[in-house]
Amino acid sequence: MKHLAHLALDHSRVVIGIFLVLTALFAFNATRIQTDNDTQSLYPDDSSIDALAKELERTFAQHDRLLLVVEGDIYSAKALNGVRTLTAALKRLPGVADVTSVATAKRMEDDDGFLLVDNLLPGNDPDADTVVAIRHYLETSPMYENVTLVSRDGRHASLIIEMNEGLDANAFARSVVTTVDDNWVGAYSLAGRAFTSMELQSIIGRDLPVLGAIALTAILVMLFLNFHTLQGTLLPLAQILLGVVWGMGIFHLLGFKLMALTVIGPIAVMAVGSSFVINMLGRYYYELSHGASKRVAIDRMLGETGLGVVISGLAISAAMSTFLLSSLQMVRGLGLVAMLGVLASLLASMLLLPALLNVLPTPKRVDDPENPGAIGRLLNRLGLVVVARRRAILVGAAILVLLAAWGATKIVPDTSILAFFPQGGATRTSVATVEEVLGGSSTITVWLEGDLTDPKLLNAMLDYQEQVSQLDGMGKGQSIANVVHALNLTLTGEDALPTSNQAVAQELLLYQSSGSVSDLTRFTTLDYQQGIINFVAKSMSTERVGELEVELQQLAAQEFGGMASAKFTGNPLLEREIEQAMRHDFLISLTLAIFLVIVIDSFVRSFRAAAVTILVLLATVALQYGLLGWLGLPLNLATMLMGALAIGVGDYAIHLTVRYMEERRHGHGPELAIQRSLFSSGRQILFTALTLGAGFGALAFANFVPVATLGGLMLLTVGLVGIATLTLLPAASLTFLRDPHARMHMPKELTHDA
Amino acid sequence: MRKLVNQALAAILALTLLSAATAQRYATADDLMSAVEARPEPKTTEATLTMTITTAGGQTLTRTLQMWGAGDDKRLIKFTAPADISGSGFLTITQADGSEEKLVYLPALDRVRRIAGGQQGDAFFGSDFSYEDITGIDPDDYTHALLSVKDGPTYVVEATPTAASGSVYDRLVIDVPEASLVPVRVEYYRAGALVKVLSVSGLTEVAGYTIATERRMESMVDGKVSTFTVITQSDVQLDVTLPDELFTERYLRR
Repeated sequence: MKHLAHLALDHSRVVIGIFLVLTALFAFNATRIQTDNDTQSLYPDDSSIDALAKELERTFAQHDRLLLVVEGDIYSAKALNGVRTLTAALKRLPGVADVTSVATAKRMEDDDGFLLVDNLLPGNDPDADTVVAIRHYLETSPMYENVTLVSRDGRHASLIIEMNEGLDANAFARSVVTTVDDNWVGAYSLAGRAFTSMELQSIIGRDLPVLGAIALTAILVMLFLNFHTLQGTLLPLAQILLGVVWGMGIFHLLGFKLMALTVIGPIAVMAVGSSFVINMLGRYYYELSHGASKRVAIDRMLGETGLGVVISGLAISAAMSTFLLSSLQMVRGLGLVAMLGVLASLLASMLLLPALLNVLPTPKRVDDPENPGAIGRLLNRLGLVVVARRRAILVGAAILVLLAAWGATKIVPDTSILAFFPQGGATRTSVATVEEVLGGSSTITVWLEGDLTDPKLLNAMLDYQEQVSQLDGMGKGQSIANVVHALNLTLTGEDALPTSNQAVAQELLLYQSSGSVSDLTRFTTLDYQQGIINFVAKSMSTERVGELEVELQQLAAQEFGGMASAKFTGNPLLEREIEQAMRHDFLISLTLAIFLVIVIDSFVRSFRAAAVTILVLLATVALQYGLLGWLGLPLNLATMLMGALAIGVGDYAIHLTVRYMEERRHGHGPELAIQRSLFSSGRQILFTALTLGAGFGALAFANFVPVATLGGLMLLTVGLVGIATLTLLPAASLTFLRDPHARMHMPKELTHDA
Repeated sequence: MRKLVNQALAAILALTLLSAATAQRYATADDLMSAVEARPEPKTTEATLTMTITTAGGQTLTRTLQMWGAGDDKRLIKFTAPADISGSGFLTITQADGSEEKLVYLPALDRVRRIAGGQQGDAFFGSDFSYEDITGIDPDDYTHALLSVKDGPTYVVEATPTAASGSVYDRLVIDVPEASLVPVRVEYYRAGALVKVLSVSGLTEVAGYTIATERRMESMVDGKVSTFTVITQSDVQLDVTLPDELFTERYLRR
């Protein structure tokens, strides 16, 4: 600390200059930061479901899909022509692998010995009879009984747009939107990963500046209320902005992109950075108000309060760094940007702040932050209550923690991507419309290995499809069995599957001589030894997906027996994997954050002091998750980070412990030391809590639902940590930490007891 | 000085053009294609074909077929493997009026079925070859233009289908080596985009005829090969006597 003080005070202008240059450099990089537009980045790194999906794409040329539903009087010549024009326009878009719609539907017909496989929608304007025939075929052919190209009421038509791999999903979805706007006059709705990606990017674009502005304003108000001076408000502002700019700039330099969850990072940096300055400036003004010179005040600020800030900063950075171990890219990004920003804020608090204070003139009038005003009187009274009622406080806290633990058992995880968007918002409405028309908005694929020319297996597939479509959240399935059924009906007039392997193989050979091979290879390999059943699935909680996975497996074992093996993939299952990765990350990050904070806190005090402080934070974490369970809020990507965030951010409790130990070292007894600590540090702790609350509270205005939930809960958490620091921590210190220096190698003259 | 250089360059260019002109035997595309057409063709052909289809995902499917042909008018193909389609057959007969009859026999259904005509662009039994590709190029259906002459010499000819041809392609670009007069590479364009590339290899002399033993058709998507089919010929017998009843519906069923 002494070295830092010398550096900042003896070379103030050089330090300020270096900070200015570096800030300009990082600001330049921060402006070049890009957003990650691919929902792929939401999925775990080593996703087995994703690996299977990629293999599926290679084997069956099955691409990611964007689902489009257009509205109008579809069974009219005008609308059908419109769908044809739109289909053609979409097919021309770069990155489109294929488009399936009523305009690409095929009609199979046995015409006096001819097997005709032709476009259902003729090339010219369809007359009234043709329109009726199209409707009749779509509604009766086994080929389309499980695919909704036109809704039963004729009000909606669907267009399934298959995308090539490696596209910028957001840009692709935007090009589709433009094409639909240009080619369709009626209303339309979209669903699918690319659409979600576009909506996510839109959210990032809207959230980051708005939330940043709200957080900054709220923090500035708190700073002004605390210090009542322009300097006391603007100096922290510089620190806050510096932390954000450095964090984002280095984040970009390291090749990372912004994701929806990353918006938490800069807000956390603002809140945490301001808490550093509150404590530092509080001490500086205290020293000035007690007659110390500027240089002495800065020296003491760094030497006494700086220690707590360094510990707290390192602990917060360590807690944030635990997110880097996540298998989820989005969580790693958040961890990195928050860690970098907090470290930058810490560095600025230790170097830039003293340098600036040294260069700036001393304020003419300085209020003693610890003067006995209304807050001081309140803290005094609180000190008396804590000393008198320490056991009641501990028992009360224990009861609350038990209730919270009970509540935590009620937590339901949900990482479904649609749950990221607000209820009733445009995204959910669009997806709901698509689901209403198509019976779902995502696909679950069952990959079978077996002899697909075996009529028994094909019958089992049709039975399986029927049974799965009855399951909650599942729609109809489509497979080669439907194609063979339709083909056999056309060729033989029998509404059944062929009865021998040879008949199946030869009918498919005949189909290949007239129809498109891709009609078959989208469902089966050419040797008919592997095939897929594509089911449409509705949006559902990941908890339901977990149940569904078991049901699908059980039904597959029951239907296919030894005839075929089955594997499963699809976006809902990928979302389920996020949940599993998230649970793993949650345990790792929370455990590691606790460990790291204890280790870092122990560096300058004692293990017991660190343990008592962390116990308070753990009680807060328990209350957080208890509330999550009692309020019925889901454990999602954001709320799972809450625990580690609270451990890191809440480490401002350390300032009370540091002050208590300082008071004890100065010879005061435990009770008096606690009262003095509460009076002297309480105000900064209170304002730190208010400032952090103001910063995190801004997240509650996010459009990204998990972040908004997190914002509300973090506001509550910061409040809980504040209350616990001012009540539970003193009570716990009086009970478990009466002699904090007992095991420390302190000089004898400093180890008095009252 | 500049004038001298220009004269020298002009002289070199003139010599180059002269040497190119003297190296090639056919001055126009029509001359060349007439020569291609005039190349001796066997009256009958009997061969074993192996057709291997490779999907974009790298899967392969191999089918073996026995093929008999009489000129360009009659062709019978019987599938011999895999077992579940063995016995299935395909007969094409070009009538005197130029129309084609295509018949398919499926033993499991025990019925002969006609394949609709006019679907030239449809895939030939799931392969990358369409019926049009299998039938071959009739020079009368195209207008030709000589694009360039490569080393060899190999002529690069652009063939544009006439409206009456019913072709699904806009144009073809054909490489014809002067030595063999067998088109060794054909690029197929549709709507301005390259959609297929045929490579012919394994040219060999059988009974005095130059035949290709391997044809590889690649389907192109965005300039890249997506799927491809290789057809190889073996046990080739030319100008053997083939009975007329071979090219009948009755024989197709056998």
